[in-house]
Amino acid sequence: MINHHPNQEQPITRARISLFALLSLVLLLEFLSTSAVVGSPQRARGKKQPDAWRKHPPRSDAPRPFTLPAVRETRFENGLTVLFVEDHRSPIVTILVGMPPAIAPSGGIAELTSQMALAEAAAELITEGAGSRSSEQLAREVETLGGRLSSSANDDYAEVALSVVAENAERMMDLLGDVLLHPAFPESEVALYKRNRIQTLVVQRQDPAFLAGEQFDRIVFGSHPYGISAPTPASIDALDREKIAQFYRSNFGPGGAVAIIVGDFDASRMEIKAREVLAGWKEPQKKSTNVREALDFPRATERRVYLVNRPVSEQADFRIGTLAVKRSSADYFPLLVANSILGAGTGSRLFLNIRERKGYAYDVYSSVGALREAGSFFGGAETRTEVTARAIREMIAEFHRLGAVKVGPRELQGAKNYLNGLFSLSLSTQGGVAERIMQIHMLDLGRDYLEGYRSRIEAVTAEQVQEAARKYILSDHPAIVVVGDASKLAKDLRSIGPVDVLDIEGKPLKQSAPYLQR
Amino acid sequence: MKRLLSTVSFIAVIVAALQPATRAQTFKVPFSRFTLENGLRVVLSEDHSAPVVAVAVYYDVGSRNEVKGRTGFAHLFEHMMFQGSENVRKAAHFRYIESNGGVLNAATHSDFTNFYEFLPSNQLALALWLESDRMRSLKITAPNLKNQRDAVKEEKRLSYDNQAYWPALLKMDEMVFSNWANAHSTIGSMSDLDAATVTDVGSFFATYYAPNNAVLVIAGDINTSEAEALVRKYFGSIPRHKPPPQVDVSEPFEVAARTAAIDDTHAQMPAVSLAWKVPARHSPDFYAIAMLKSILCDGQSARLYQKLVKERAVSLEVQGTLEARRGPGQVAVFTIHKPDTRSEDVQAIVDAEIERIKAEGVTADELIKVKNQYRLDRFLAGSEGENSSLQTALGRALALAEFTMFDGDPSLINAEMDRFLAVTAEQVRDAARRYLVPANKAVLSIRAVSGQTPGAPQSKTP
Repeated sequence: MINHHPNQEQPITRARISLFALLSLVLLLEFLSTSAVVGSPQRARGKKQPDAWRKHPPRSDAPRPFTLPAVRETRFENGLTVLFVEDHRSPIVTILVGMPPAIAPSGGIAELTSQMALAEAAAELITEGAGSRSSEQLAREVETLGGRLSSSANDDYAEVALSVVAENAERMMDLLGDVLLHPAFPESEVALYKRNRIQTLVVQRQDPAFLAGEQFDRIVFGSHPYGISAPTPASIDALDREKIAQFYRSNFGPGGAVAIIVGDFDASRMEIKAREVLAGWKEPQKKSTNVREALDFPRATERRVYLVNRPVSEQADFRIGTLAVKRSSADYFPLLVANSILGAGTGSRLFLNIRERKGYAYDVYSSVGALREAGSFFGGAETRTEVTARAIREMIAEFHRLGAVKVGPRELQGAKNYLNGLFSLSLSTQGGVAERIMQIHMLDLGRDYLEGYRSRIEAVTAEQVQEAARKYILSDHPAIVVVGDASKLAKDLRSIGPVDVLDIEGKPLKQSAPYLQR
Repeated sequence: MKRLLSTVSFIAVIVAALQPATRAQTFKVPFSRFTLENGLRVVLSEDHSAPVVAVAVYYDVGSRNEVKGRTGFAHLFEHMMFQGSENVRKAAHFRYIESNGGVLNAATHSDFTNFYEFLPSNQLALALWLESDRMRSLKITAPNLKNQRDAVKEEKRLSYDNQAYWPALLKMDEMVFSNWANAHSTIGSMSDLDAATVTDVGSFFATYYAPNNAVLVIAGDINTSEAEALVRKYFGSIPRHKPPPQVDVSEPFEVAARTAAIDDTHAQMPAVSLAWKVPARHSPDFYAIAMLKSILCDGQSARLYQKLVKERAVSLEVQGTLEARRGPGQVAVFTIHKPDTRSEDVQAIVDAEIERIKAEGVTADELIKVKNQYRLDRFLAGSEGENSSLQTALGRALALAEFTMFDGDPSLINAEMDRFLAVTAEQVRDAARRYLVPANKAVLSIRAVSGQTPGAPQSKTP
């Protein structure tokens, strides 16, 4: 959670989620030619501009061919899909197992929250003791093999992730089998998990970025499960061993699940091992269905500011955005390119304007969060309190510009190059390959997704970018979430829209202090 | 029956781990090296497994080279490297790299500053053009300095001032190190950032950003002789500067301050940080200290995780770090603990475990375990995770540059693992006895006072 290395590293730009996940591009800034130039070193010797060739960037050769990883796919009789990707570049093996759904069909918020608490507990506790091994024995054995094992639940599925030095991959498969087929959910581990989870909730809410994301999702997704970022203390308190084990048995089985094995192994041999370990995994009799009832998303009718009060904040975190598209939508690629132009990466409009021109922020970005059933778009930054309202207005102006003015061909091509470059770079690692393949299966992306990705990006037109910006970025009624010291922010923010002041759990604050009054 | 099987497989594991040439140990990164007349040290590593290339430029300067009154300056300067040069406009660096399908970043450390580009291999010349232009002709203007100072101040707020625990952890460095060069923070103070002038930027550039004070590494889909010709073309004519002054980073054995407590206005859960000063990376004891730290802290079977989080259930998480500086560094344990447990009680559990290692040593099984973890980590644990580990051309470029600049020996990218694997249980025990001693231990209790007035009286923790 916190990297204890305060003096080690100050990056120029924060690596978000993953280096290759988001970022992108283009805008020429006028160079401030009136300013005095000092500190330039002596130029290279010579008489008449020997370095004239340096004036322009070098021309590049044609790009060298890019090959996608070869995937071998099989399906076991129990419904489990297993994919093998031999990759001998590094002597390790990476395995991901994805199991939908993480959360069962809809109900009220309280019911959904308790389902979420169960899903999270079940996913996290399967590695705390399995088969004949205690939690400690399992951890020790995994680590002794030169391995790493983790499990978690996200909005769309539960995932077990595993890495191991190549020569111990088959032995790790045995442990993986125990975790998936025979989780023990020991009473003592469940009790400890419950006590600690109530307290890690408190730790999560220390972090302004968590608060901003939680509040934003709550507004945009409403009573859909995507609107819930964390369980409540009451829903954690209500957990017990029997409920968790039952939830696991009825929700997580081989049907619809996907195991992806990437790395330095022989695929035929690995398939024999995978079959030995996972073919006996039994599908539950009464598995919860993955079909949710009609989705019910809130519809905003005004531009409103949700101000989460975090007293003595040194800065304000804000997010501006709306409901957008699910990952399998045809609009996803145009929106991705639009987002790349606007706010993905250090060459993007938001970065060059709000950071490099205005100096309002260190980190400024926009992001497309496209999940299986729905998604969001938002722009965000962390700014000093005095300029927060100005930075928000500047960002909204950039949203408008993208919808109002058609993007030029160079900027458009640059954005596409960036996205396709990130795609290629993300396939440099086993984890990147496994993650991309997992998304195909868990987010309904279609079998030709990897093959078609680059050409789908290339096919996006300037008109489509503009349309995507108008539909999903340039909302008249965006949700604006600000996390910071309300006593210093409320007045300025009222110039942007009506302000709701909330506590860190999202509950309305009593209108007692003068700054809280509308 | 099950138990018997698992015992058998456990023995098999040990045998496998002791085999002399496992696949993970035969992994080799190829490279060649040369030095330009201007002193630029260059390493090339050709590998055609993907059509990508990484370019890394390391400068031998960090926050330890700063002068009093200018903390944070090395990092502010790093930002200025993106503000334009003779042929590259302000911030155009970002656009050139990203619009050609690449990523980039830079980072300032206590003891070095690095820049990298990771992009399609047909764009190698572009990265060399950009890196050479700013090395030879950085443009420094007052408006750009003001703009980047504002950005860096927001970075300080974002990464430190507005986060739980971080302001306290910066204080740890001042408790561990006596020498100001080591003790002050890389992010610096707001008033020092305000004091920085355009003249400071110019003289820092002239002093430290010289080819003879830098290492250039290119790794990935290249032709070695073509890449060498490009390097000579772009960097060969940049003049050598006067060698920069050496910085004294020497330290007494003991820490500067042994105990302190601090109120954290963003924390709702208390925490404690314990740190011990340790010798420089690659010194003889360093590898044993690394093993010791991993046995204590790394992974869910680590001793302190088992004690603090599981057995005694006083902590929510435990994190160990070994700061591998070129001069004295530190090994630290940081743990967020429960409000109903006193800081001293958490510390006592940590101390008891350390005393047990001093008395009884570590087991052969533990040592095998952490060695296997190091073999895995080479391919997973770069500064940006897997993306900058040895799996990628970027990770290989960064590692080669570090070994070249710090050790003068890029071959350590292949050989260093043997030094970790050679550590014995006795060496780990001796390292604990030598370094994890009271005179060399700094302890900071972090009190959670979120929602309270700073400095208000507190109970429970000292």
